[in-house]
Amino acid sequence: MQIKKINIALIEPNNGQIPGLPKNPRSWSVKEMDKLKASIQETPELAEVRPPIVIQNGTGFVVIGGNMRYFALKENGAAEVTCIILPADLPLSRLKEIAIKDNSQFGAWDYDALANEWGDYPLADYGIPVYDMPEVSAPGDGNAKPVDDRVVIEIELTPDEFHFVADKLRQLAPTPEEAVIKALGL
Amino acid sequence: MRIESKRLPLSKLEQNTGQIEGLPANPRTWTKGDIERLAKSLKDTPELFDARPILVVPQGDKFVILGGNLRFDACRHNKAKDVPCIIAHDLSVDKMAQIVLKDNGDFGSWNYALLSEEWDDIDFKELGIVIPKMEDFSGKNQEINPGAFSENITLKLKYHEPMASLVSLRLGENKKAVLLAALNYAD
Repeated sequence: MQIKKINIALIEPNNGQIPGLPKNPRSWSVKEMDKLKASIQETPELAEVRPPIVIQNGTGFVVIGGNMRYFALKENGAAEVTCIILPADLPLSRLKEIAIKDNSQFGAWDYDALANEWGDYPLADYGIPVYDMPEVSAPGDGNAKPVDDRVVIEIELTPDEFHFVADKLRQLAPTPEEAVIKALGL
Repeated sequence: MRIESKRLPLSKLEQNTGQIEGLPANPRTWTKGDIERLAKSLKDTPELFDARPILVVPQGDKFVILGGNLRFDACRHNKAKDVPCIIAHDLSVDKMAQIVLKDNGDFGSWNYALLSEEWDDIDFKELGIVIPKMEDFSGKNQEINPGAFSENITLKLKYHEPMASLVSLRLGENKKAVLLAALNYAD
């Protein structure tokens, strides 16, 4: 495994061009891409330590992990991208595992801690679903007075369902409440 | 920032419990099941661990984990002696905080159609990925994830009246199934 700066013109997203490796199974909205671009500009250090994972393909490289990041860096005007180059002889099955696992996540956010201790940060702009956090996600003024005349609708979900719901809601609207209204066609 | 990539003994690493002044403790939680599944995954795909090492900052003669607190527990579970790390030097506390949050942040979502059609040799369940199928959301079959690995999460939605009543009415008695079905269509 090698870490190297690569000319961005030599890098391609995973479009399915490597026989046996299906194309990147992730999608994103323009809004999410804009947030990621801004996030990388704010914390370029993270892109340095969590760079795209690539594999050589002919004279160029194909992104195995970090396709969205590749596009964000490109749109941010990067000429070169720090990349992790996987060994060329890695079996296809291993490449597939890396592509999927680099996007999957165990564990969950501690929403109390986020609300109480990390509330100074624009969590939604960092790719963190702010759903269970009224103090942070409440629209309106910044006079952190809890809004208590609202009715709470509770829906119990398994962690997997929650991730699915969070993903979908995030694409629909800035707050979960708005997103649910949209999804239900109200 | 200056970075160093090297393997560090597990005994030199500390989870972020708030010991760095100005940096709150790691805002993530996990279950025993998460640890076990990640421990297996790390063993199965060591190349990914090398590519995504535990991210630490020096603190005295130890190193505090900014990114990879759960991985630390998984490595302990695997009885690993040393683990791939990136040591980041000269980071401000504000940058550390951004990294803690962003290293676990996630943009984009799965393209479930592609996953189920072309990536079907992957054990998604082991990775905590559930591929929703329409029939799973019909309301007849709500148990879409039997044997869930960890405890349930309650989604709380807060509305003023009259919207609260409208949303309640639309969600009906089987709130979960209606919400899941609506989101599956709402692409």
